[in-house]
Amino acid sequence: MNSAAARAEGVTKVYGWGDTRVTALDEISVAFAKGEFTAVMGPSGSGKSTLMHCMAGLDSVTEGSVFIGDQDLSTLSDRRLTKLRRERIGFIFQAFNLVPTLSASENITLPLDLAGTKVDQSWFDSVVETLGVADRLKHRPSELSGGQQQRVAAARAMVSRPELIFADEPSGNLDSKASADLLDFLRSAVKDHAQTIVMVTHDANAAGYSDRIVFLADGRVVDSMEDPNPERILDRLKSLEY
Amino acid sequence: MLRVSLKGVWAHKVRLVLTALAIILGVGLISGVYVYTDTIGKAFDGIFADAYAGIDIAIGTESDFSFGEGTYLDEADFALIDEVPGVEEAFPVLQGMGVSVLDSEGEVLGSGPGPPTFVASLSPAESDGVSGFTIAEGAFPVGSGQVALDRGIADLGGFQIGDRVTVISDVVGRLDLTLAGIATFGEDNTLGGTTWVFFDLPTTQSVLQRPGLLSGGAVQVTPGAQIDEVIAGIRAKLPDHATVVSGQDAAEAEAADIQSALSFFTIFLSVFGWVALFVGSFLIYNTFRIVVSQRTRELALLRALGAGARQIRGIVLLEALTIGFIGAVLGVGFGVMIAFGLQLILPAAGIDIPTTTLSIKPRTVIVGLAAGTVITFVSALIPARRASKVSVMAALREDAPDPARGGFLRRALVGGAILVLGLAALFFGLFGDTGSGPSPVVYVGVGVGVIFLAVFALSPLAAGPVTNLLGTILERFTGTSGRLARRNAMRSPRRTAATAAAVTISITLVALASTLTGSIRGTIDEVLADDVVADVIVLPEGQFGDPTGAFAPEIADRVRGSDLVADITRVWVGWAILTSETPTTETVTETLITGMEPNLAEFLPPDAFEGSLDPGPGQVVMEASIAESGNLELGDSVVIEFEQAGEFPYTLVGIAEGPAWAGIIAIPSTDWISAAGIDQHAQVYAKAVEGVTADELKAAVEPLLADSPNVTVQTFEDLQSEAEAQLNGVLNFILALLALAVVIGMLGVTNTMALAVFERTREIGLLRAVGLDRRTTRRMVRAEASIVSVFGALMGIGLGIFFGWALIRALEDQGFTVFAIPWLPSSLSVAGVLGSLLFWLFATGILGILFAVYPAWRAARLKVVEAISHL
Repeated sequence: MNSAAARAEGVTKVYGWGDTRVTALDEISVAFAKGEFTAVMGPSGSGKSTLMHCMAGLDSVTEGSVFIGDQDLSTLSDRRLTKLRRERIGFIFQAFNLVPTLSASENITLPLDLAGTKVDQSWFDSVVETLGVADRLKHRPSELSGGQQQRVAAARAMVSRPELIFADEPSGNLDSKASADLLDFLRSAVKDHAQTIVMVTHDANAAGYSDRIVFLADGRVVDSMEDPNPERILDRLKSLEY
Repeated sequence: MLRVSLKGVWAHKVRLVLTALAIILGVGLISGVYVYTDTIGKAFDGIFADAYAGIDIAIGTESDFSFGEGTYLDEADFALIDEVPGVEEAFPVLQGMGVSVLDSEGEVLGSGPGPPTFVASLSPAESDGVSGFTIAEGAFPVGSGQVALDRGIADLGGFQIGDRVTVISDVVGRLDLTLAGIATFGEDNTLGGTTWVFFDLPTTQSVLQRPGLLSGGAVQVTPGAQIDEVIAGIRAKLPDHATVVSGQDAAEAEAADIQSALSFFTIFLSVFGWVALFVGSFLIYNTFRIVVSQRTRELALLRALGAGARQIRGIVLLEALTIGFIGAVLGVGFGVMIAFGLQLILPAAGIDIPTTTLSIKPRTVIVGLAAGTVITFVSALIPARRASKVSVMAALREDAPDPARGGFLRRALVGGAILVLGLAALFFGLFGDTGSGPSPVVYVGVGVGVIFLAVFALSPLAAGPVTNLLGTILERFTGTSGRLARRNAMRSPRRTAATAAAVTISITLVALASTLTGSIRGTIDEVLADDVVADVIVLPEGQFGDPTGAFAPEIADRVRGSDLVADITRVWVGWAILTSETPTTETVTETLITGMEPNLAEFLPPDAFEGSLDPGPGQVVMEASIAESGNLELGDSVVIEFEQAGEFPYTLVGIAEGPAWAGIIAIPSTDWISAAGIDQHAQVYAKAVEGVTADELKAAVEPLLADSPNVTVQTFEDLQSEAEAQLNGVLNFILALLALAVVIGMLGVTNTMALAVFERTREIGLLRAVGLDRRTTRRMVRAEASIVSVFGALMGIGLGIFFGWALIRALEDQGFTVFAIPWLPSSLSVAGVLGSLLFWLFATGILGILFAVYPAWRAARLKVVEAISHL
């Protein structure tokens, strides 16, 4: 287990009280290995987004523990948790990834600027080059296409060399070409730089880029799959009555 | 969806509370002033009704003068009243001012800026209450050695019947007397906090130096006589300037006089309430503007579902009316509480103002409700219009940007044109010849209003660059939070400008007050430091309150008696009406007139002069700008009317220039004394002999005047610091009243920031996710508020300085020769610091931070996961 970049141990997440009580995560235990591209799949309401939020330190858990490396998140204050997020975790959300008042370049270096860390210029250059946003750095998010916005978000997630990147339906709003470009990049980041990525998705095509898939239903891990391809995924989803 | 609508309600609540708060404070101040002054007025109505209860007919006099001491009747004329059929008895009264009562320590009792001291004759009358006062204890004063005091001052001084009491008269000096009686005013210790010193009639005449003269009197008619007929009979016997009215009319007239004096007070104070409401209107405007742009999609959906433009407008205006009305109702209630609080606080602070149950007139409620409702309604008109123009398509768009960007050139042209108009009106009012048209005040008022409008039209153009600059400075110190704040402040220049506008108005007034005081201080310093060649000056205590305050001639004699004094000059000051006629114009002004000695110019050397500064009988000298405004040249004739002596022709023989002569119109002292009928000095200047300093001279003169606490000996440094203290007092009073407007302006910042935080929920969630901690989040919001506030303050300080400059230039003729911008504190006192413009620039920055504490707290408390999934 020590090779895990992040893991959850017996995590339960409950929302609401009484009649409105919803168990989003039900004593879930899962680990994401270092240098692996893991996809988390499951139907709506299966708890996949909640799992990501809890593991990324964005939300607290009701019971159980979440670890980033060896760090137990439940023991951290909000300030330490924020520090951990900006130093050790990268994020790519489905939409509204960028701060509208900052340029693309400023958005990319935002976590580093917040941490007061110097930007590694050669790494920055290589990331924006790879992502094809080098010529869009001075633009505001509103001047970028949807695909460009997501690639800028990916660059932001990469540039601080985080231990792991959480991506929440990163290609959910993109057309197939832009989607493929982004996922190719994530794939190569894992392959070339041993980047750990955890991606939540319900898209079998997107999940096909991963090394391993964890299937969730009703707040539990119900299955997993190594070296997936879209056909196998679809078969599996069918068998899970997805 | 429930969460979203709950958040909507939250935003709605804050908006409601803050918008209503602006109305409550403004309406509260206005209605509080009305209620309080109405209450005082009602109390005085009661007092005068009591005072005149025993009087059938009241005799008085009238005068052409607004500021004079009043005119007199001859005793011989008054005696004729007894012959009028129906007159049972006539009681003569002489009343005046210019005495002070000393306590056992020899200090003036109840001095300071309180109600004045009166001296009056009080004689035994068959019926009580002929003058309102009756002897409650002891006996009526008889002869030159006896005095009676009102119970208020007697208690204050701890005087008992038979005690020795020292009274100082401005004309005849020190009087050592025996307290014969203590008088009360009906049930009250005295009349509205004033001090009264009573003698018998001959003694009063000698103390006031008005032998054989009366102020008027009271008449009782025989039973069954027709009062109207008796009044007509008396009027026929008396000279034209006598007034003869029934006691009831007199009571009403006196009450009306007090009411009009109070109404000045009411207007002065309520102006600050209106200013607060005006500032509030910007807050309301901005709130509704933001709310409308936030609800673009909701409104567009309503349009899509078939709501007409008028219905949309109606929705917004109805909301405005509701908030305005609720705010106004609470405001009137708050006003009543303010008045109630003043009733409790002022007497506790030793200010004795008569009072009674609170008087809440329909006018107060109507004005308060109308002001609050109408201002909210009008402020929401433009946002409502914009709401009705939301296109149906906006509902389908993902993002709803702030509408109506661009139009840079149009805005610059329109704003520039308005600015030119405003400046033209202002300068025409200040410097132009308004002729027979509206008064200059109208032009100045319109000009100032239009300039404000122009600045607000232009300010969005400046908002970007200026907030960028301010933010860049801030970014140096705070890093990323500063950069985020800077970009946020820049993202909607119109919103930033509208928020800053509310701060601008109040800071403009603060800066104007500071600039005017700074300039006046500069003028005084200049005059005192460079233009007066004297070492000490003897003045009545409280000279700044009353320019005609005076003291008896013996004071000057004693000063002259000091070995250290080389020379003195005495100055007499009173009121006169000056009429200067040229072939085309006639100028009539009521003005101060100085009686001078030939050596006055040695003490007040002019920068330059024409003719002679030693006028003979029938000759007058004056300062150049006064001559100019009356179109007068050397050798021209003017008519000077004295209150007691009437009109006399004078010839202009000298024109002096320079600040030392500012405002001076002077005639020979002999003329002055014979016209006034009394001899009393307003100032005595003294020069020390060679080698003696001002402080040494002061130390030598002071003991000579030790028994006359009604005068004070001051060096010019003393005067300077006293003037400074006086100015600071006035400034602090005005700043205290402006504080409300400043607070409302800052509430606008709170409101905008709260709405901005709500609007940017997702963005804040994203920032929090990628590593913005709570502290930095708070700092980001506060920094933005600070930038916006300082932007508003910069505009306000600029406008305030400009208006101050224009006013000082316009008043240059009145002796305001110095224009000074008080960037730095004039002294290290609280008052000195409050008068400094840099302080206010800094303070608004801090206030911005303080007033954004709540929105910043909200922003930091947002739950990251909820925030990033917020719609």
